[in-house]
Amino acid sequence: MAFEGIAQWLQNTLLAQFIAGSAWAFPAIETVHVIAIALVVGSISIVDLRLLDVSWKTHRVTDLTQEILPWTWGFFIVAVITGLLMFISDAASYALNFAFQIKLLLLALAGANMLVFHMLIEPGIDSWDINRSTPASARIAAGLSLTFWIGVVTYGRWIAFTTTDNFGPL
Amino acid sequence: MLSVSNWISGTALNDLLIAVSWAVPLIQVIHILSLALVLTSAAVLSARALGVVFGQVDIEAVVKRFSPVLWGALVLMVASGMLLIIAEPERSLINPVFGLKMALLVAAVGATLLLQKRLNGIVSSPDGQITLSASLQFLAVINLGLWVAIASCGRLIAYYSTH
Repeated sequence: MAFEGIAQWLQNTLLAQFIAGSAWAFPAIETVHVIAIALVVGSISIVDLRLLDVSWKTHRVTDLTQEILPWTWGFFIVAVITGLLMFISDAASYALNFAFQIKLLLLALAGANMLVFHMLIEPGIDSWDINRSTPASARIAAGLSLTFWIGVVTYGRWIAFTTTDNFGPL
Repeated sequence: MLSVSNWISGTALNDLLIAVSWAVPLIQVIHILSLALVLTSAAVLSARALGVVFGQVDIEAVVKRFSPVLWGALVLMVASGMLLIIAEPERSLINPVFGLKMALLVAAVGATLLLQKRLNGIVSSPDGQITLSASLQFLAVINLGLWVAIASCGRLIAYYSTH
């Protein structure tokens, strides 16, 4: 009940009304969102494929994470901001959208997986940073990461096919 | 284009892709995932040329790692895009945004080939420090801009449907 109230309040804000009422705002925000998420998934896959020992074994894992992950975070912040803007434009419908709910769950799982990697797996990285096979724990974390992010993209696209409300082109 | 669109609408593959309710969303997902690889690879190539990422890695090694990913994912992107056209021909073939996207695609493929060729011709000095020419840096910016524009057109096709 409280949640419905929040959703209603969100979509009644001036910003939400503007996005919902404008002909170009939603398409523009969605375009930035798609590009940002594409770069999040693409950049994180560089790190995950290295952790899976699939690619760039000649490079230190730590070099790749230091080089790539700040970009990933930047793109992720853009994706979250644009995602929130789309959400508030029709908050009550999105909150009830099954694909949207699954997408949030997968995002939470991706976050938890990343925390486990940073706290439990990365501390021992010196012994396998380069010239050694990555440990099973790192491979599992990388495989889960790829799976969760592909899931986020999948259910993100599915949101538009699940709703019966008046948003989007489909 | 309208007659081509009408002809596609009568094919068996079109019937199948419409009959299977999850076919179009699933192909769109594959299209977006291949975009992720194309866009990221193009961004890495351009950003390396500008010295923004992988400054410590030889340009040649960066090109060797990311070019095959870009071209491989582009094949997947074109293939999935063709299936999307067959499923909903009138959504794209008679849409001006789709026409613009295809023109940009030709330009982006040309820009990427040229960037790749010029980057492969660069020989690093022993200390690894190189300053790339202004024209090459310009090409890198144009290359990334074209791929971003293609992705933008891709999403906007849905909003400018004429049917």
